[in-house]
Amino acid sequence: MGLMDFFNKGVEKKVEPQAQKPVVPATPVSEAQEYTIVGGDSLSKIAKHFYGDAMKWKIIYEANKAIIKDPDMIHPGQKITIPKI
Amino acid sequence: MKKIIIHISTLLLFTIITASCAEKKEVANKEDPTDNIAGMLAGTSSKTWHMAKHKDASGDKEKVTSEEKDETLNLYKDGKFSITDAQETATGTWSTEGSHTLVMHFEGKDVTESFSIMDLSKEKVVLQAADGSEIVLKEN
Repeated sequence: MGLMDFFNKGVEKKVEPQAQKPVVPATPVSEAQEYTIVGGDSLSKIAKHFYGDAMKWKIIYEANKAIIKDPDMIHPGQKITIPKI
Repeated sequence: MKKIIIHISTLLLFTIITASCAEKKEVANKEDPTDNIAGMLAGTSSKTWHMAKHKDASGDKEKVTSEEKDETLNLYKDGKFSITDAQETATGTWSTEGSHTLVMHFEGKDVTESFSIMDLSKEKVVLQAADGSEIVLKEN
């Protein structure tokens, strides 16, 4: 059994259609916007992307507590709100 | 005069010792960027993993052929991965859930594949599939 076979034997979970990553805004987010999580994302990565500061992940977490139960566990396909700051 | 010199010397010595300790503390507090799950899996930019051992679903060891040893799993820090064997290369994105699950999303597939991380260090990772089979991957 090769690597390819092994990595097709995981616990399968349906993925919602993924949205394209938004273009990095030149200025800080001025209006709340929606973002769809993609593979490899983390809240700090998203905060860095939108706010330019990974430490602001808590703002995103607080605004999406209904969707994100554990800030360390976000899933591709989840739609979250990026609040304005 | 002698007393003053002794006082100044003592003060100087104390200052040097204090500064030295503070410096050590600062170094100790510096976080190793690879000292977390994602860091151990992908390093500072990427890591190449090879299959070293394999157990089937019933726990029996299976021989890893030389061809299988040549197969590689590249995990990139940006969340992408590639798996290469003799015939093809598959790509996609990866992430972790908590500290015990590796999630792989192959490009073009509408499902993710999750694997339990049974053991993890900077040089070795043990993954378990849904059927209970396990592989030991070692860094290149």
